[in-house]
Amino acid sequence: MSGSSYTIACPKCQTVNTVRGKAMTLALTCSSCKTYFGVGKWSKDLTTFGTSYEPVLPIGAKGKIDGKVYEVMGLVVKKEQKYKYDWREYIIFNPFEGYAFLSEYNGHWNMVWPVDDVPPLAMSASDFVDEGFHFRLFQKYKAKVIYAVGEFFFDVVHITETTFNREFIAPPLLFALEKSDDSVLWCKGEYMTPSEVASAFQIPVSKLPSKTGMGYTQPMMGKIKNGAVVSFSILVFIFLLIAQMFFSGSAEEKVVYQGNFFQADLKDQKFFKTSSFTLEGGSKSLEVVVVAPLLNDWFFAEFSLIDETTGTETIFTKDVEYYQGYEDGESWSEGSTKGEAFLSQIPAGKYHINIYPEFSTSSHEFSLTVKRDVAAWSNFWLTLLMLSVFPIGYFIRRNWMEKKRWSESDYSPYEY
Amino acid sequence: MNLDDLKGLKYYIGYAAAVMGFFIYSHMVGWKWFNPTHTEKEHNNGTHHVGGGRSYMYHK
Repeated sequence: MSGSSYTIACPKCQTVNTVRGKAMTLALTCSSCKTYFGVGKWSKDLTTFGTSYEPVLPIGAKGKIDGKVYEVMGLVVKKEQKYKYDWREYIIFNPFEGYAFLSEYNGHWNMVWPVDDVPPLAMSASDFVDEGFHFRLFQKYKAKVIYAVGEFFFDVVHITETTFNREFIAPPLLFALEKSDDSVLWCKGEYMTPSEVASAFQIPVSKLPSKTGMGYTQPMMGKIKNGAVVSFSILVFIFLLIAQMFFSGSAEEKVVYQGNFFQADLKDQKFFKTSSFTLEGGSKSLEVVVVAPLLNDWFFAEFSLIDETTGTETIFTKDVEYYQGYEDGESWSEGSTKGEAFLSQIPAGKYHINIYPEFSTSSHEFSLTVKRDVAAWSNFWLTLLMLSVFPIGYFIRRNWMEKKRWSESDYSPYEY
Repeated sequence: MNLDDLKGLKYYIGYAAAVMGFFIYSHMVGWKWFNPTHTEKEHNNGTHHVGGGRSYMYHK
């Protein structure tokens, strides 16, 4: 705070302290002997602390948060009275916005500011909804100030010791209640990343405490929202289905060759050769369908699809088996008299197929049908699976992180 | 969904776009990703086999 100097003498060592908060400052620590004392006549207590702490945000440092410049006025280190963990609260001030807090625990930061309007249910319920966010009670505690430095707009030591606290979270947001016999203070807060804090105060992020564990208001995986993941997933799945329907509907499935082959025609040759057929368009799929009239028998053949221009052969095999019977009062069947071979990415051109069959004792003929541009549904199912990886992974990770977050609460909705 | 939601989903959107692009490309060129029909190519410099003598057989 600028302007003419405003000083107060320490009641213990008489050191004259310059007070940046001027008349607003109601308590401060002496810059020389570090004694905490109240300003004016409301308190004669002097408090000294048995510990010390070097603020990572120096007293007097200025930082820009949400476009507003805040000045660091003081720091208190508080200790929870049941589980004995401690955290730090920096009191920051903007002449137009008033005071607020930057709290830090295990390297996780929250910007917290006083609010007048709180949801009515917040006073009594363990959960409530505010502006679409579902807040749940995370902790109740009493705390004690174990260290303070700087200036304060209230008697932070006395108030901390006499208030009972409740905190509700809806990450990245929180509501905090400090309640005593004669006062109620509601604050709202929001998680800040160490990078955001460092950037606001223009200090290297390496100067800030390292993050450990999970912050109780730390948002999941950045700024991803559950509803957005669900909505976007549905949109993508619908788009995928429409695309598949389009490709299936527009697939030509044009029969480019159809022929019947008989073992008797083979004579001295080892193979059949189809007549030439032309494949049009660019690179497309080809389906070769083999049908053999079998009963408790098999048929096998090796095929060579030959590009008559380049001489390139695409070699594949197909076997067809069909068995049926009657056993223990029930009829059964296995296999099929029909088999399909799918060839991917066959370029346009003039082709024929050489067929090297192996007939069994009772199978002596087969038919061959070649179709151009056949849609593959398996790609659709695989794509659906791949697209599901992200939302499924997100919700698994979210659930895991939520359980981890709430493992530090006495009011966890999860069982461990 | 608003713009902030979409920003939060930027990696998912990028991933979905890549997968969908791959899916559409595969359909356009007739590429079945997991094809039970095993094939092998052989190049014969403008000529091709007309007889047997195949040195390998493929079974599904």
